[in-house]
Amino acid sequence: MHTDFELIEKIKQGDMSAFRHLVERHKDVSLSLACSILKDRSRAEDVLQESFIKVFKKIDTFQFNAAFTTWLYRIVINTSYNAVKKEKNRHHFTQEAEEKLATTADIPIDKLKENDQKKYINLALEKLRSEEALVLRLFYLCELKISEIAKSTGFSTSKIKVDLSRGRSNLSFQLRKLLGTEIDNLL
Amino acid sequence: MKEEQLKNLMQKSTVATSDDFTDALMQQLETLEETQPIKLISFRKIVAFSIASLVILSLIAYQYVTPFLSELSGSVQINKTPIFAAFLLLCLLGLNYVLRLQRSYRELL
Repeated sequence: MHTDFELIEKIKQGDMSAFRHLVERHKDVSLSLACSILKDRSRAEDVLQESFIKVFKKIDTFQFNAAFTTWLYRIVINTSYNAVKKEKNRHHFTQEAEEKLATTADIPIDKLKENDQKKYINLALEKLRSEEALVLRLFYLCELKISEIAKSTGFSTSKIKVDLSRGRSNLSFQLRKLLGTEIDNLL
Repeated sequence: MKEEQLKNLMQKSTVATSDDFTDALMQQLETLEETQPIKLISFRKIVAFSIASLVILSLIAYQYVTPFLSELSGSVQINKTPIFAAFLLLCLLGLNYVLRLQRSYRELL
């Protein structure tokens, strides 16, 4: 298994298959980050395509003194925020997802498949402010330190700490609102 | 909610891309590599060159056309103003054409 740096070296030498490996490795987490900001899965995929094209074009400028993921996430986050500026209709997914989930809301969570659990968690995350969802994902999913989150997002460390704290309590509140006592089965 | 529970929840929140995501991306990159980038002269250079050309041509025209027009004006009554106006109009139309080209290029992008 090649490391990110080894793959980047190969890409710089013109190896396209190395870029494919790099995309395969990071696409899902990157999409989750884009979804935190855009609240629309299909739009997030488009933005992610755009982000990876930027990564490919700028790979020569990548400095090996920082983690590749920090650099990648920064590109994904900036591209997502730029897309948000262009697009005002941001609540489309939330409403649509809520309608879809309303049909399964009465089913106990332990009987739901893992995929459905994922839908509930994502719906709760969609209800949070984009900064809170983004910071939560960067901290718990990407396992970045606060200083690394600051580099990726451009937020101050104090803002990150506040967003983390609010994000935790808001996520818990939204899950309880969605699932009631069934939340214990989810945890 | 405990930290470990929250971490487990967030791990479950990973959104998977569609099956053809990577193939579509690689195809897009191949298309990009095949397409030769259009090399355009920068807008500032075009404007500077147009203004410089306009000034030089106006001076030349003034230097050579004015005596000729003065001679000609003895026999034929030609007004200088409409000629210079037409000349300036042509230059402005040229500049307008360049600007429209630039705008259509931006729209293409």
